[in-house]
Amino acid sequence: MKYAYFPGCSLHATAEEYARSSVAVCEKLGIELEEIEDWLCCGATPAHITNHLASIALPIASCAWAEKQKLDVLTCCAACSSRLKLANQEVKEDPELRAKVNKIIEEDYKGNIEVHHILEVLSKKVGFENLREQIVKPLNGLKVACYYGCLLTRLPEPLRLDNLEDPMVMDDLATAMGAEAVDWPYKTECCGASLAVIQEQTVLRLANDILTIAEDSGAECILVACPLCQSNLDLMQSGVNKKYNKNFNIPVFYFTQLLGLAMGIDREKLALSKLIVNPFPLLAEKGFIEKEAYL
Amino acid sequence: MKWEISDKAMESSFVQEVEKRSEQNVSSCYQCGKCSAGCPICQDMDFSPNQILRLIQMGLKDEILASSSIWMCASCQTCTTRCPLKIDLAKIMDALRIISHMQDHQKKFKPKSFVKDLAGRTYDSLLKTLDMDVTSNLKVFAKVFLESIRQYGRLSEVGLILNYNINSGFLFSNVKNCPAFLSRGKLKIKPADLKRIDKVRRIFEKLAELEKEEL
Repeated sequence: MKYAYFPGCSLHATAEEYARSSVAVCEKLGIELEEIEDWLCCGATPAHITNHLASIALPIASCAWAEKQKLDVLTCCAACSSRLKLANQEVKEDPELRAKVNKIIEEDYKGNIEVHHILEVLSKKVGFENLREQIVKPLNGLKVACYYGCLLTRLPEPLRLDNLEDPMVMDDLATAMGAEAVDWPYKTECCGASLAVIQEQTVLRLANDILTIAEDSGAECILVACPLCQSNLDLMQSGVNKKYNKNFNIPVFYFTQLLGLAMGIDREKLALSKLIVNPFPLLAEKGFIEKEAYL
Repeated sequence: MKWEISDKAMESSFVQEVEKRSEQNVSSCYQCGKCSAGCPICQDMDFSPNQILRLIQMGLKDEILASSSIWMCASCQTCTTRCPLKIDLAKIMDALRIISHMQDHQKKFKPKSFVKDLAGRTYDSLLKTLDMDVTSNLKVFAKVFLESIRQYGRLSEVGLILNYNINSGFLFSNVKNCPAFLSRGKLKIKPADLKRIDKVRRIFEKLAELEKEEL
């Protein structure tokens, strides 16, 4: 199994731990990743809210390289995967648009490849049955809230990852890891995404709601698959505590970090120390790591 | 608030432009309000999503384009997925922002910069002014984000925040998060260094040309 790997801007900077743990998990599973040469930013929200053509041309420039290598694209970021999939779908369905975009990006993209989010590859291509065989250190007794956020699940058919209002794919994965996925109603609520930069108050309100419901549902930590979700729940947690007079101390893991831990991957490769809320006390308390390891 | 509603406005080119750009039929909305009920940002907007749709139906272009709602929308697409009439409201929001963006271009709009204004102001009064100008800030954000891609092919997160702070005048926004990021080695100061950055520049040149043609 080989994919053209599209990391995206966040995974090269603030979400480096997501990149490192995803690459480590893929390596262990024998999934070969070849990073797209000179991949471009997907344009994210600023492109699709100001220039529709830019929001198509930028992702397709990266897809064109993958097509030349005859490889499907794998992304880990929920936002990138949403933009890449939508752009790919649009140029596939609209030859006129495709020609226009090809002229802009100086390529001859035909639309013969697919874009996958890493959760899709793990659930559909690898399969959780096979994945379960790789779990050597099951996360028994760990209660996790799987947080999907908005972009991961809201794509139109046939690009959709899972059920719109009650996705289960990450929950099933958590169960396969040996953890207990709590049932909670906020798994697809939006975190406010990049409004964190401009309208912090809005994001603090949304993060407070999400963290409160997660904790009330008995979760000891949160699993995410998107750098914006992660940062808004992890980095902003101290701000939430201050503004709403709370005492949250909930680690927010990229799902690949916990999966890697359960697969017995070297902890260094999972970059757990990059998380803002210190995850080590919880992991040690549960017996997943030795206490001395982080003291 | 007093609005003038007329047949003329309702049949204006604005309504048609929104419908064309979004590929949605705005008149099919019967105001059930489900979009607003599920919208995570609704309570921070001046008009709720269903009100925005109603304003489009009435052709009230100026009111909509002056509203912060269209820029506050986080594009989470909850409205789109829950609309009983399958109206893609997120796409309509995109269309409205693009129309607003094009209009700014025509007017040679420059987002306000408060930097020149700093002297003699207390930080609090500055914050107050900025809070009221969320629309301008959101436009600045989109602009500096795309400029980073034009320059480096990728987003430089550090560059984005610096540029945003300078251009919005909100000099110290997000600075409090720096220590946490720095201590974990999450801030990458050096921007991306693509082999063929010339190609990226040409992509942006062509996009700009096409945008100009549309004006």
